[in-house]
Amino acid sequence: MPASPVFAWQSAERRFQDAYARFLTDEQFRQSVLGWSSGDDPIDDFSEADIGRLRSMDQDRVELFAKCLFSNRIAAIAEAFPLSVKMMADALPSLVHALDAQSVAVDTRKYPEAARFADFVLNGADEGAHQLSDPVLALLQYEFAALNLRVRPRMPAWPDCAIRSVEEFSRALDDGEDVRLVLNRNHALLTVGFDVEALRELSADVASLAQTETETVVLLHRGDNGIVQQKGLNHASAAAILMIDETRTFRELIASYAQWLGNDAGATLEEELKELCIGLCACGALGFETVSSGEKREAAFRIGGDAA
Amino acid sequence: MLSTVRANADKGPTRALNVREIPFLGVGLGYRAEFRQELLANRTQVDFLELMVEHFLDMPPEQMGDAPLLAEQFDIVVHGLDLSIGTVKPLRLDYLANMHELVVATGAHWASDHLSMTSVPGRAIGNLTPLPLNHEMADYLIQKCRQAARVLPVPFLLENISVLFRPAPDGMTEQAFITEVVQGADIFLLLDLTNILNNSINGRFDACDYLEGLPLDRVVQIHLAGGFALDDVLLDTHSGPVPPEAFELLRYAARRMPALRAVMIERDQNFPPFQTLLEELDATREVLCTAWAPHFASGLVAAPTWLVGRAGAG
Repeated sequence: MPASPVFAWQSAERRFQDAYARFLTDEQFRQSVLGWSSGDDPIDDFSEADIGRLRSMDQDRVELFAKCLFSNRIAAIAEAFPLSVKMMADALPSLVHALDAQSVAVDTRKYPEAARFADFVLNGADEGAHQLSDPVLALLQYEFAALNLRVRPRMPAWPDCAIRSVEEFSRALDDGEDVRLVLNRNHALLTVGFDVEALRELSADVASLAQTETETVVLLHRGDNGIVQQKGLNHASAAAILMIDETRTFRELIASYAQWLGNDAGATLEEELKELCIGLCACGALGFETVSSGEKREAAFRIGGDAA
Repeated sequence: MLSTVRANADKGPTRALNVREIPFLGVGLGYRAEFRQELLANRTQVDFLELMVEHFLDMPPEQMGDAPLLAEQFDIVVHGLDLSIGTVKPLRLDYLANMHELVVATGAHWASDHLSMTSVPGRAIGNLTPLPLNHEMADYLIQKCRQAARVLPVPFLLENISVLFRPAPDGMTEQAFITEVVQGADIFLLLDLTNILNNSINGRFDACDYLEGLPLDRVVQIHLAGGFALDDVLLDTHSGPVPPEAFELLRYAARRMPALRAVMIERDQNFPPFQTLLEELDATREVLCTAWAPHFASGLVAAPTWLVGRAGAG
């Protein structure tokens, strides 16, 4: 039975729209279409009629539209990573071209575009594709982490039984009760090659920007209000936070930390770690569970795991 | 939500449109988080807000939570960028479900999107892209607009876009195409006057003549914005002040639009001091007071305070 005219139109128009979208977004495809002659092999199975429709458009305006799309993508990246883009300066457009040479953008909305770019620069690009220094790459990593914490947070941020009251936390530690330490799941601990606050204030003048180069360690975490907060840390505090990730209880943290220092755990060390933990709790980066509730949760997890 | 939307898209009731049921909103702004604080501090000077679907859904939860808070302070309308109604594929019900959710969360008076495509399966174009102007495409759009109107609990409006080129084959003028779609689907029109102005300059036609070819009795909302020229072509970037020519076009158009309920300024980049945006709103009101005075002359509908006492307000 022959297809209905409506079905035939939809089928043909769907195929054309595929070619049309590629023509607007894929420079290489556009050049193939514009260079195509009747009698050449078909381009990706698109019909001569489809190619004719594309070629009949005002190509100067198509070029302008493509230029705007490219600018929009650059703007999306600059909005997501303002400090990194400040440091990349003129390298940004060539990096986006290098990314396109590897794979053409198919999702140009702001977050996917920014994430694709960051992933390319941090993980996918040959070193030859960019001349970015390690501090600039670390800066991009920092801004990418902040973007993900803001836009794609892990939900929920805390286990159900996490207690986040500074007063209760202090009381438990003062009473000598051991507690399980729980980090806000939406956190990232990073080394950044710049003084990011100073970098924010400066205009894009290379000489002044270079002065902000200095190694800093920061803890990013997402507050309950959705705002990503930042806390500058010394290396000792950063090491303790890494151990909180690995250790289970406050007592175990003290033991691990003392072992790392090569010392016995003394009262001073305990006080210092207590102060750090309470500070982290106060700013929303750390909570705790009573040891018994943590054991119940783990037991439930083990039972679930065995059953699976 | 998605299952309700799906059911309504197929078999939902068709609402009879009655323009008298659409409230008069006045002069408003497209909401952008960049000026949230100033907006709240100057709440009485902005009559309504337009919220973008993309700014609130599939976003961090606190952002979605902000929408009802804004709705407590302002009348709201909802606007989408990415429905891509012109793409030849089934209607994006997931997107409409998001739009529906935002409408319900804010008590929005209507919802709108663009007469364009922004994606095809597997590829997002990243901009509002023109469609060919022919009866087949118009018929196709009518079906999808009817579906969208069935799904949404409020009137659905389509907006004209800025056009740099068109894919062939064109068998109709743009005005005839728009008329066929909005009348055929029995929906309303969101008219972007800056887009018409830019298109008329880029395409060398008369904007007022163009307007005469549109179903002006279906225009419920107007957008105004400013852009810039690149390679001598005007671009719709929402990055500058509304040009005087757009206000002139508004003066010409508004009195021909009996269903006009809202005029809004869009600003997405190069944000000026908020006071400058308020001055643009006031300039818009100045232009509108003559056109809108007859709405309130009968006394059946209360005139907004800014209209009372202005020249020409009757």
